[in-house]
Amino acid sequence: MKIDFILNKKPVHIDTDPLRRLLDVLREDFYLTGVKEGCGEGECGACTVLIGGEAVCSCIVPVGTVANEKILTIEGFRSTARYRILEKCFIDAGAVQCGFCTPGFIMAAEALLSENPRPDETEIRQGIAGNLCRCTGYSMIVDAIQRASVQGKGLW
Amino acid sequence: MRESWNSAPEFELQERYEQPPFVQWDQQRFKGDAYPVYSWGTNVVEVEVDSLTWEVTVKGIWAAYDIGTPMDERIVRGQIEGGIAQGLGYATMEVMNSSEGRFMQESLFDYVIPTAVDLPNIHSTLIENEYEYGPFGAKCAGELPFVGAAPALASAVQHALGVPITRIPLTPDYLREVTQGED
Repeated sequence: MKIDFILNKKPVHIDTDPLRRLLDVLREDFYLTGVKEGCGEGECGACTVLIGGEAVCSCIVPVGTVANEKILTIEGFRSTARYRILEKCFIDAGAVQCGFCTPGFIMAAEALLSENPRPDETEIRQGIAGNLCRCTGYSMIVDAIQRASVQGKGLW
Repeated sequence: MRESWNSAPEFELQERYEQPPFVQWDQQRFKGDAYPVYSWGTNVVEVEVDSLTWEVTVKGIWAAYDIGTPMDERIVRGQIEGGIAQGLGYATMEVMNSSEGRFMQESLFDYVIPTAVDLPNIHSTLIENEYEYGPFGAKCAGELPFVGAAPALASAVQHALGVPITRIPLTPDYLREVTQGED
């Protein structure tokens, strides 16, 4: 099936099985390996990408359903001022340990802050509840997003 | 090693570990104290138990550790918080049982671990206590933060319910079972 969509702000076209997972298409066809596979069943959030601004687990999205959608991965997000603030705050807060969950958390943070630029602690915890981290205990990730919402004032 | 680095494609280097003089350990007879370095920690957990659904909610966590002088305080803090989070998951929700030699939980769908909403902020403190023989005064922090959280939580639930708690995880099923007869 021929599928057109916008990937990281550029129009792309592929001809593939529409039932393939978006995760596999992004990693294998577009070499966007910042999108990680953790559980492969929509529980851990390591494969989080934004579809039309909404955080979605790309491992449970058949690529046929994203025709004409706007998809943003960590690679596309990297060139933005918002990303640079998030990156700095994740580093400053010590929110990265093994790092495998980090791209997913950054994308979840972007989705959260786009909807709610000044979230309180409870709202941040709810905003990242779809992402699992086994290293940090979450407090430092919550702290990083809190810092980003203050330091990135006006960006979201 | 540095000298022979570029001179040959392969080289062999042998060195024998020599224990520092303060370690009293006899390798031949396997006697003595092979692990003289102890890190210390203490955990306080505050819980709320719903007496209708028997769900346990963690309301607060405080922890203090003596791991010598931390080499990188931020990494140590991460290790502490991650260990505590794992310990609290272990104590409350991480059910793993087996049947005929097979684990009944096979994925993150049925082996549930804590998310950010399952835990409050973790308050941790380091008691700086330079360790003379450690690198830059450090002792170890590896699995220490993991071991205290589950017993602290179980003790808190035991205190709240007034019945002995003898195993984890404290699932609602188990808590209902141990409190039967109290109602």
